[in-house]
Amino acid sequence: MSSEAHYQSGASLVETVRRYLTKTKSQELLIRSTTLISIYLLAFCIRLFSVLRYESVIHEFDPYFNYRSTIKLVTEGFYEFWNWFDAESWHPLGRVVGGTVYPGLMWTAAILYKVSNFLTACIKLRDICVFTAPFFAGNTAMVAYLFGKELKDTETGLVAAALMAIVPGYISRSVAGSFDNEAVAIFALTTTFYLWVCAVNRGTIASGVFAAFAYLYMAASWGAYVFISNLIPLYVIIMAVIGRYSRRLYVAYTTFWVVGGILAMQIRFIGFNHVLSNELLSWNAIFVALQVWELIVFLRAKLGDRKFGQLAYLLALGVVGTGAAAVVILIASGKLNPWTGRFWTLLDPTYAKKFIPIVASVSEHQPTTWASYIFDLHVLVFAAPAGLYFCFKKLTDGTIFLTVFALTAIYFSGIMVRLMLVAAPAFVLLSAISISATLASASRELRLHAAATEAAKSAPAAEAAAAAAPKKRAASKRAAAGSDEEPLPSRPAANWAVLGLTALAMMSYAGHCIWVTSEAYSSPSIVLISGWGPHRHVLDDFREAYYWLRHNTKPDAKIMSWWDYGYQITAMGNRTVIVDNNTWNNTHIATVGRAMASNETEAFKIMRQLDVDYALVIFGGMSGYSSDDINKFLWMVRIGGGVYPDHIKESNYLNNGDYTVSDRGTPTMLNSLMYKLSYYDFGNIMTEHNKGTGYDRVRGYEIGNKDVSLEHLDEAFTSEHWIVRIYKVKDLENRF
Amino acid sequence: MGKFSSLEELRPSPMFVCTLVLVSYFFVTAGVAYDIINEPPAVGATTDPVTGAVKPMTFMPYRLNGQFILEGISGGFFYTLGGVGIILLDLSRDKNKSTLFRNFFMGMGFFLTLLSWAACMTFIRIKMPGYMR
Repeated sequence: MSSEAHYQSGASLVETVRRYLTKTKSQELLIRSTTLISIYLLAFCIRLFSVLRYESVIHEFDPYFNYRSTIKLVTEGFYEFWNWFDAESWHPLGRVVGGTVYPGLMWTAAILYKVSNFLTACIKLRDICVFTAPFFAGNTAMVAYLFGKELKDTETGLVAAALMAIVPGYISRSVAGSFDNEAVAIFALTTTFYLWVCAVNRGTIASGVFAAFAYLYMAASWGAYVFISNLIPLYVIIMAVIGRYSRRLYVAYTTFWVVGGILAMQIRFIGFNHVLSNELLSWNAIFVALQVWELIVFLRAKLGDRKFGQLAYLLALGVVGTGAAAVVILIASGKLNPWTGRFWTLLDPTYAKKFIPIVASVSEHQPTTWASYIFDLHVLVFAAPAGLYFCFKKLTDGTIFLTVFALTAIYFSGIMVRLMLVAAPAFVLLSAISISATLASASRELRLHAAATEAAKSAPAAEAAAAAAPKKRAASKRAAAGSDEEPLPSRPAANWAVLGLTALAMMSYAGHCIWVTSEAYSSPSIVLISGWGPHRHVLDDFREAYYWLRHNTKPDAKIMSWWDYGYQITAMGNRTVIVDNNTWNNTHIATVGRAMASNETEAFKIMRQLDVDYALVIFGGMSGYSSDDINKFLWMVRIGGGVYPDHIKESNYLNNGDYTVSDRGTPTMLNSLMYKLSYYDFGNIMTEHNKGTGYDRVRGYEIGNKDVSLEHLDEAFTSEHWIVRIYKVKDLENRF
Repeated sequence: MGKFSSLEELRPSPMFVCTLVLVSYFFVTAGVAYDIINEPPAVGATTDPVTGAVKPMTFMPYRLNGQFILEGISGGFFYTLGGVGIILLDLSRDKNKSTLFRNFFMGMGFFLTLLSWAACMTFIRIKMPGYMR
């Protein structure tokens, strides 16, 4: 108050700074903003390990397709990308990329590129793509702060932002170089949930519209928009069931449904899913149910009870009858699209194993083990159940939403390892609530204790101290909130121990996250590193082989390889491939699998049909690279056998149920094209000191047939460590 | 159904639902979905190289994406126990209980949290010898 009386407009800088820094509000603002800026920088920097160790390169397989699409978008413009038909993949079918891709990521990278170029920071497009993910990770941490603030208070928000910045479950898919959908989709998911909780808390149309625009970004970025589209109706149902339905919820959901649905249907890949697909049935059903409910409430208010009762009975009969009939007609006439295979797996985990081998073969779709939880989340696995307890202790609309989100996300993360990514924000927010509540109650008691001892020391008499202490407690703002909690008498040591325990837990969490990021999640997988220090060896075989393809084959050459490598070959080798990672056509993939699994003559016929010029295999026996095609071969047999059961039988490739390429291997196995292409010329090589020739370093034994001869193919290129092997398909023989 | 006069009374209390949620958390984090799909044995077996005797092996080594049933259950158990420890720390602040209970809860809370954390760290070091090196 005194500063207002003595206000001087010409105060010096030092004086102004001193005046600001002595006010509690500005101290708090300074601490908060410094913390948030450090969190942002931490989230960005921790993801840079692979850039510092290797170089700024795009990782894995899928990001190469996204990179190629972004190049198309930036160089040829929006409409060329929107209507793109790609003739360079899935020869001879081609792929309608414009209608089968989620464009959110490409738009984001293109906008960042155009903006940075406009501001004369001329960053290369590849670098923009590499650093998109860390940039959005920082943004996600900021949104986590806002979300925590909306759920509870500012302290929870700060803890949530700090935890979100380095949680390994999120880092695994958003390191620098991982230019994949999840990089922006998790940001979109957290923003949608935050804006949805804001909309429910405020109940205005404007907040609903904001949530709908965040939903548009999510629908444009990732297929998990289906998760949001079912989670929010589920939340509405639960709120109605536990008796917390309110007009705010109605306004929020109606606005969200209308605006969000229309916006999401603008994406070509989504099309009319929102009105036609089974996966989004609850999305529409809840909208209809809400309107019906509000109509009933309105009619009851207008009609009076008796008339309303008669009307309700008649209407209920009519509605149930027509609704059931409509659903039956739609399903029978085939208008309602069935649930796609990927989403069936989430409800019935054994479905994919029995019916869709392609979905079951992807390593990311395997179910989760217990160790993945502690590895990806560390102390958050302990703090999350406590957070659930705190949410149940004091139910608000926002915490109920968080509980529903967390329970569904945790269940789905148990079914598929990849969905640990979606569960990570849920774990972070729950843990933030529990950690912040623990810290808040401990520090509140410490402050009360300090205030009590202060009062005891300053008051002259013991009675005056006893009388003043409760008054002091009542006066202090913190105590007013926790009226049910009383500090244990003279126990500051326990509270200091709680603070110490939390500090140790956070330090251990930070150490773990940094180690995990550095060791496990920063490998670009296109460049392999083995050895330490002076014995470090970099294996750059993939890029060597793809650039060989780019420079030494004719421009319209067609490459046949297993679908894993399709995106990389088109992006780096710039050549047409037969199948790639999009896996949209199972029969085409099965044809390639059948070719790889048949003997050379049969395979040659298939390759002539498909117009193949070069066959590419990945072989790890010389270098010890274990994710090679021989290890994936059984999946080729299974997928090929699924479509051509008369030609390919899995039992022909197994010796008593044992998968082996040694001399115990079956003749079908040892004569298959894959075996020949992998082990051509390998029988004469000595790979380890005291083993014979042809010792396969991945399988751990000598191969069966060391004398491989090829009739219809010629070896064209083998990379330095034999990891990539390319063979040219010979033309038909001259008969005359 | 007869003894409930309204639907309201059927509604379970929040703490009951919270207990159910913690039980389901235990099952999910124990890797029950993995157990159902891949059907691993309850414990694995290693042969001792010197004597040739077959010893049980509790943790599937070197792979984060494989587990035995008992290993998963013990992991999930300690996750839930750690959560219960933090819950106990908060329960100790309830002023309606006697001081003995509150001290007991606080002590148990510390003990359970630290025990779960230490156990999980030990487990992960057994499973992945290269952890934190």
